[in-house]
Amino acid sequence: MRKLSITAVVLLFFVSFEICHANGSSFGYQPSMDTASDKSSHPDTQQYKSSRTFGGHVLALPSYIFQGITWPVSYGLKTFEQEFPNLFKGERAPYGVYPLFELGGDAGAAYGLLAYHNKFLPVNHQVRMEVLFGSKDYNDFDLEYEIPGFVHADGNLELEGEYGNDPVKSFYISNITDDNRRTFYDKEVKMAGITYEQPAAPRLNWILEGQWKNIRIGRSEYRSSSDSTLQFSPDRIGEDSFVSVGTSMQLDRSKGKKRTVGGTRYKLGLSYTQSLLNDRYRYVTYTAEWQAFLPVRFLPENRRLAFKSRLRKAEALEGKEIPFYELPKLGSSYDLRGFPSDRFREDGSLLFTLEYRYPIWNFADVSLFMDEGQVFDGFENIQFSDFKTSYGVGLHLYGAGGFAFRSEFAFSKNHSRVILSINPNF
Amino acid sequence: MIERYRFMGDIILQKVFLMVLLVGFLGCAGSKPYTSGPIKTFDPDTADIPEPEGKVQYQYWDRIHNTFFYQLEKPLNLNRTFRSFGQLLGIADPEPAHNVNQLGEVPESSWYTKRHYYHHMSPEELARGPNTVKPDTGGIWTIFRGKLKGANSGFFIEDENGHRFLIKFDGYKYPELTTAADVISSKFFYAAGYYVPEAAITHFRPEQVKIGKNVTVEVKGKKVPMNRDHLQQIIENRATNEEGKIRAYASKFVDGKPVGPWGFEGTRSDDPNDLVHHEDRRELRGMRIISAWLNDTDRRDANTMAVYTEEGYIKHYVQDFGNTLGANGMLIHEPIYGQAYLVDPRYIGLSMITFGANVRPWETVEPEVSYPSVGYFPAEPLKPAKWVPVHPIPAFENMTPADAFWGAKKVMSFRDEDIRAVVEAGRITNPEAETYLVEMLIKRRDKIGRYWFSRMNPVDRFKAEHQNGQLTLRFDDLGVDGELFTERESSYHYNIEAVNQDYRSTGTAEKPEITADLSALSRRTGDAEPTVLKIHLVTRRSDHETAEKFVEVYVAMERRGLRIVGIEREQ
Repeated sequence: MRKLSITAVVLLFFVSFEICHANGSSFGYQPSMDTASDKSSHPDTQQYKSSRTFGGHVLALPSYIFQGITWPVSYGLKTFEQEFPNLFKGERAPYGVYPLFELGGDAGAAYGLLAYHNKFLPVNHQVRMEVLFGSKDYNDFDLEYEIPGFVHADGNLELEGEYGNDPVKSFYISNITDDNRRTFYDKEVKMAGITYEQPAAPRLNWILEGQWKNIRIGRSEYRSSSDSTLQFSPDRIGEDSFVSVGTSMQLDRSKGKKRTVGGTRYKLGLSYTQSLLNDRYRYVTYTAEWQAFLPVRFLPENRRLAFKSRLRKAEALEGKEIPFYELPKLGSSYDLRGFPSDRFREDGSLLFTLEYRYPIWNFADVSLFMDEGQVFDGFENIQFSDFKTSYGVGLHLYGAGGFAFRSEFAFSKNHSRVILSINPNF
Repeated sequence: MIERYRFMGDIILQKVFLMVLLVGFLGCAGSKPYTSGPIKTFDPDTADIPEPEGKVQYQYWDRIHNTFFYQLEKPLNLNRTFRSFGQLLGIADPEPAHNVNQLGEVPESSWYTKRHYYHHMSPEELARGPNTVKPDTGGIWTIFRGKLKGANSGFFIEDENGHRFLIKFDGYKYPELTTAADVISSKFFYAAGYYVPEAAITHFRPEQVKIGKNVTVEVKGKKVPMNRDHLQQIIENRATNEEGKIRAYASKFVDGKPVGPWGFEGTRSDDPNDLVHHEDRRELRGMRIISAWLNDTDRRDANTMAVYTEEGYIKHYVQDFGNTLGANGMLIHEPIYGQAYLVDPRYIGLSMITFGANVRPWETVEPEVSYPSVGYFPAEPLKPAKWVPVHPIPAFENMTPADAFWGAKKVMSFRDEDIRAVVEAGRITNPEAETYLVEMLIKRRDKIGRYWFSRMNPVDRFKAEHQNGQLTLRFDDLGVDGELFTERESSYHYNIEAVNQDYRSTGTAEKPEITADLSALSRRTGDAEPTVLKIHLVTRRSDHETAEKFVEVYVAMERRGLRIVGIEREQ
């Protein structure tokens, strides 16, 4: 009986349509004036009018409510367009200040400001400053100054300074998967660096880097209720200053305007670091990375597989040590994305990433990805069974100039991570 | 207890039942398909109103609103949703336009005037369009406003006759492209019945241009006084003619005061004359067909202009045709334009769930540009029913087959020689390019005509006569007139009945003329309502598959003679 009644209600609606249809009228609206056969006035003296009937208003009620709810958003967007038209044009003004926020990581959430000037001084020098504040003591300041066309027409000199303080850094060592073996430490960094980049040959870039940094490691006050009672090792507490120099080469044989749709990229890097305050640390770090992009057969080239493999190894020199915070790590928005930050740390790291990227629109790709990686202390200890897996899906957005933003959801056996970044993975 | 709940449930259901019944019937109201009064030919929306305040012109908001907010809002309007269900079940028609008369035509108003389709315009008249004057290139032009923005730079001038013009240029890469498109399309829109600003191609020498007092341009975000260097930056590397004069597009300032855009949805609250929802105006819904023909992809609120006239009402202009034909502003159209929105959830969703296996038709096409002055303007990709501008437009989304037919009539009214005359107004210097553009316009026109004239019965312009007890109904078969179908393959099956008398007649005519003996009808006398004949007409094409939709023509047998008092078209 009840089913019958519901059916009757639905049918009635359609019957009412049928009646409207038969009469050739406009559902929910009053009939237009000229259709009336009122001879008392010429139709040319009376205006057409769209006016909803009472029933029409009742049926339109949900849309009125929607308009009411979204009114503040629409008002805000309209005001925003009037006040900041450049943001809508997708063009950045030559200088400006933007809000900045960072989600995820140990800090949870951090907020700040980004200020930049792309035409600093009479020439095209670029300056950029980021200030980020997170939980109680977390903060980060970055200053970059870039001089394009330095020495060589395509040369680029970058000066960089950073101050960072993070009282709740997670610490895991080696490849162990037991999450309960986490401890915390407090880290403060001051850094000044200089980087010079110049093309050595077509598609081949040569980079020279020099850096000074001072790092203070302390005990963190933070304790998580779910963690074990493990204590951060007192051996690792202390302060040191470092100087490092490095060089790297990047051969870019990739192709594609906005998206990379084919070809390969190779990166080789070597750096030397030693401590300045004592003679405890001296080491080299080398990195080799290979990226390949392969279009999927029978489909347009922008449906492609993207592959990245990266090996990173730090070697202590002359019996000295490598500070734990300078060891190769895995667990970030660029590798083993489904794990927490710096989840694995050891003398070496090996990573393989495979992504299937396909466009859903001219400015957006979906990426299905899988990361496999492990850390190790010596090459002989690399085991197939030690690879950790993370996987996920992402949405990559592109602007006129190329990659603009990615939002990824990554998972591993016990963890997940949401990544929002303006930098591509590769 | 359970029984009690069940009882209450039944009461609630009964109430819902009654509410639905009430709402359903309140939602509609009927009227007969013909009028016994005069046919409405003018919509008097030109009454004197107080001068409205200028409305802000958003460049992005209307796109965001129409792409996201409006799309979410649409299904929440249950008038629309239930009607869509009704259409799926075949028991409801799409929402008809709100400003059509009993003949399915749009009365003239501050939006629209009957032109070429109704009163044939000569090729010269078509090429002239709305133009009354041109910029006086014999005297000095004084710049009173400037814009320095790369290829998009331009300025406003006043000539020695006191006429004010907007001066724009072609992009550096495609000389003649944008200026020609702007002029040509504005003429077609004008002939179709819309109000457009006067536009022409002009040529000038820099020496004849002087910069007025207090004119500024924006340089690196700062306003600075405009000087000759700025002028030189604006005009350098622009297209020139054989005399070395710079080619430009000149658009005359309209009479009256611009008060912002008019928009394709809702009404203007500060205009008491504006009573019909814009999304339900036939001339705006049907504009989609004209836009499809010209690939007018950037049609949107910001490219419209409401003008407060000296007579004290708001007149509605369509403007900015720089993204029509093969031009996309300073560049050329890309293959996607006209085929999908800039953000198109239909295709995005499909790509997402098929993991990219769905290859969209425009993805694999590299735009082929044979003539820089024409850009990318092929006929082949045009799908008349699926054409869309870059962003959704509520009026275009609401287009019904009847609106589309109205638009298609306008497009098909341009004969080959008409098109040639209008294209010549674009002053494209390469004759081959000009010929190519004409060819593409003809092909696109015919595609539109063939599509819509196969889905709707394309008979129109009815004339009825009564002589010696005989009815003669003559009409135009627009499909035959447009040379889409031949006379030989066309026949017209009719069924005549009297609405208020017992009379029937059936037959088939081989040409667009129906005759019937009316001597059996009794004559009405005195104040009695005149006899009304309903002529049910179906057009058949022997060699083509067409929808064979009917047209019902209502003819009143009045004392002064026969009069067409209603036309109904099956959709």
